[in-house]
Amino acid sequence: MTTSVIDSVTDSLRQLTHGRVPEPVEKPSGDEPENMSLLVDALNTLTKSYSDAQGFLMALSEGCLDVDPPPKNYLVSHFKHLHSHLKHLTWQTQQVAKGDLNQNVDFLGDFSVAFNAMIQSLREKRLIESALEKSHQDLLAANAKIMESIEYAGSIQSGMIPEPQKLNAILDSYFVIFQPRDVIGGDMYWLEGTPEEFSFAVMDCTGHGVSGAFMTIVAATCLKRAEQEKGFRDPGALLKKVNRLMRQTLVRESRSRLYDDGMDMGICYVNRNERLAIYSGAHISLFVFPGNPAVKEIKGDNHSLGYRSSNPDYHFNNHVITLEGITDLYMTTDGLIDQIGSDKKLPFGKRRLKRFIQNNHGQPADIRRQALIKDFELHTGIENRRDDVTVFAVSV
Amino acid sequence: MFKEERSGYRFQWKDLGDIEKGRPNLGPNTSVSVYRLMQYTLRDVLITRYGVEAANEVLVEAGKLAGSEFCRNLLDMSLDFSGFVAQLQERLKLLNIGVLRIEKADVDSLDFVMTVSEDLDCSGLPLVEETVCDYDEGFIAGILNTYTGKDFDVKEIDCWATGDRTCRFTARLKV
Repeated sequence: MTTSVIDSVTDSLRQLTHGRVPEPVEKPSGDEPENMSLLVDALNTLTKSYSDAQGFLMALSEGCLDVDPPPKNYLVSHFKHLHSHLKHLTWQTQQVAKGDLNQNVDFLGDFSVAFNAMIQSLREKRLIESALEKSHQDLLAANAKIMESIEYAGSIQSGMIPEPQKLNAILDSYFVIFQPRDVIGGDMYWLEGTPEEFSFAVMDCTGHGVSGAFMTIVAATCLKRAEQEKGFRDPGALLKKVNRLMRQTLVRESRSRLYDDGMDMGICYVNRNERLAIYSGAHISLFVFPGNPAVKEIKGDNHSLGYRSSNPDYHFNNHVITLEGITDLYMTTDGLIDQIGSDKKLPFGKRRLKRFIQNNHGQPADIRRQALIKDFELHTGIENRRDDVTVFAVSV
Repeated sequence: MFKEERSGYRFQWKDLGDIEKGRPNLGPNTSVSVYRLMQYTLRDVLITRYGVEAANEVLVEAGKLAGSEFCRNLLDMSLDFSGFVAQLQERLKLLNIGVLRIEKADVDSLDFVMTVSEDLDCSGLPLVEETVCDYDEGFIAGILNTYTGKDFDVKEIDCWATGDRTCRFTARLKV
């Protein structure tokens, strides 16, 4: 009998060493020595411990940490330790995923080194993000201040352009498109005179934005002084005077600088009673309809105002135009004509402007204004605006 | 101050005295053996005098008192849970009490599973097939009670003395 128990025990042990769970060995009868019974009890305890351990270890090997380790099982005590570490690491990782960077892993060998290094990197990243966020907020605040200042400057610039009451008092039929690319810009328009005779002008100063707006203040001041001295009836003389005044101002102010500033301008004098207009331009054209050809472009002289290279003695040509019937007179800065369209990447162009002038002749001024703005926006599409845009159209 | 009769607990952190002043040469630290010498002899006397259950209750209750004072005096209770746990881990490590690790923390239902490795009370004890960290149970409960203002049941489910390499505790709101 003893041999039979030993064989069973041997077989069970062999199965255990091969990773299999044997059936419990039947307890020997009372005839067997007591130590045989103890041997079988010990083997069966080992078998049960091994069986309990298998399920836990299999789950652990598959990364399943929700399994409860078998209690009081010494075979798996080290694995329970590992299980505990993995659960802790899982919790730590979940905390990090939630943004909690307070955690540290202690005394877990390579895990600790890697995890703590990761946490440290994330903390540094958070610090950098925090610094970036602060910089962003500072920039927003600075930008808000600058914008506030620019908007205030815009209201000052608006005060320099003719008021609607003045325009309406002098002009019967007219429209103005005044669209600085930014809040403020380097374009400006002007009107002086009476309903019987008046001059109107557009000007396009160097730059746009704040620098352009500063230039318009210089330009408007010079034009006002020139008009006080020369009157408004001689556009060529006005341009010559403005050229001199601007050169005096800008060349003196910028003597120590590398910049060279100036502007383009067109001035048109109209006498309703005599049915004539006189135009003089500095790089800005007057478009007349009806004319010969249908829309006639009277080009300004190839000479800008106020630059170092501008000749202070230059005499600007006056072009006399006889007004026949209802005549449309258009002046525009190059912001309209040179604007690139998003479709074919071509500029708006003079040809398109002339076509517009001809096609819309006789329409009420408001309708023409809306139509031109729509044409311009359609042409521009998603392309960025390149420059300030000013159009001054008068029908007499 | 220490020996008068009382009907409620009076212990306060300041009762620990000015150790720096009192031990200018030996300093504030002692060995784990000395700590265990006191705890296990005290346990022995308590069991002998009052029985196992009463002895365990005394140890848990004392642990609670200690945890509560520990929390009030060494931890920042204004921190959120994760910050609080991180600070608790740091303090327990600094004072060589044990290495606390959280396995599960449901902050909504206040249901936690945590382990303490290299535990001051039990790590290295002979296997006795029973958990022995009753004082730790109370200590953890005292900390959680004081931090949350709610009563907790803390149970040790694995212990070095039961053959495990780390002590595992569950902590749940007392029903």
